[in-house]
Amino acid sequence: MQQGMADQEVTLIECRLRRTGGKLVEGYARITRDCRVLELRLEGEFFADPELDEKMEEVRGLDAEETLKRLEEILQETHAEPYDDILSCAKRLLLCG
Amino acid sequence: MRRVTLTVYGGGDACTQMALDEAMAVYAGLRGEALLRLYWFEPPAVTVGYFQRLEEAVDMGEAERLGVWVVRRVTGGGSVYHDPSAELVYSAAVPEEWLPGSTREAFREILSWILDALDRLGVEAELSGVNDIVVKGRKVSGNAQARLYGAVLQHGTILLEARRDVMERVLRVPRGKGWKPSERVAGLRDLGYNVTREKLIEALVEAARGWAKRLDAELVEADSLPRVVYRLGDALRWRYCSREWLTRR
Repeated sequence: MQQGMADQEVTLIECRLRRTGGKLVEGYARITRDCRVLELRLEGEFFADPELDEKMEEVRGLDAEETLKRLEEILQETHAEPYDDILSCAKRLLLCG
Repeated sequence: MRRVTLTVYGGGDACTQMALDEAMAVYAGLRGEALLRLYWFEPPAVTVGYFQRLEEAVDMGEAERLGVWVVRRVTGGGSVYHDPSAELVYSAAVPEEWLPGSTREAFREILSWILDALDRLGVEAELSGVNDIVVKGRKVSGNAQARLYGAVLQHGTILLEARRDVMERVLRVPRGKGWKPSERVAGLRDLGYNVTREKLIEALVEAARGWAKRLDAELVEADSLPRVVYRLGDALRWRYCSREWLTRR
């Protein structure tokens, strides 16, 4: 039981990013000690198709590197803009280890 | 030939207006026809972006005290205060395949309609960033977009006058944003242009003809939206008025 809880121990990471002329992009991630993503959430003034939320569920359980790879695809699939800012915020969230 | 239908809809509450915009996207995606609509929010309202956190964007207590409706959009972007007497809102639902694939380019294409209309009124306006139109360095039009049901839905405001007093009371400055929304915006009349809502509508209708032509389409001016759009709008309206939708973030 104790071991199970330790595996689930999470770090909450927040990101707030606003570049000149860009949109406010915020996010937070809950990541286990072994760098598995429990939750990744992006918020703010950016643009993307509403299905972004559903697609973000797909990264649950992936490691940080896999998550970033899938996230890049998701952001393209959902026409997210400003793409670079959103990705940069996610990269900060997924700094692990 | 492709068809673009433009309707001057007029005033309506925020839930209805947002539901009709989504219904227009369903229609455009399924029928392969574009719909344009001109309207305003009555009573006054704040719309928040799909991905925004509500408590960061709006002072709900102040909105309630002032009788301002608060509704979440299906499109991204930031929060906007809408005053019925101080702005005109447009929406465009365009089949996805008519427009470029990138969000930036799709914004540019639809905003060319708005820029042409402003040019007809003698307003020297330009695109700024992804989705804003500025005049003399001040934002007169904010625009938001999403792709859904096989269509691009874009809506935006064209400000006649900036109601800074109310704006500052109901809109919050998100932590990390660095400036108040009211500081950047101005209405066309604030900037010295003698533009009435009627003149603006006229210019948008005129400009829509050229815009439709560029999309290889004919423009049809209609007194009302297709009946199915009203029906769909009625069905979608409850969601926009629901607490669950508003507080989803």
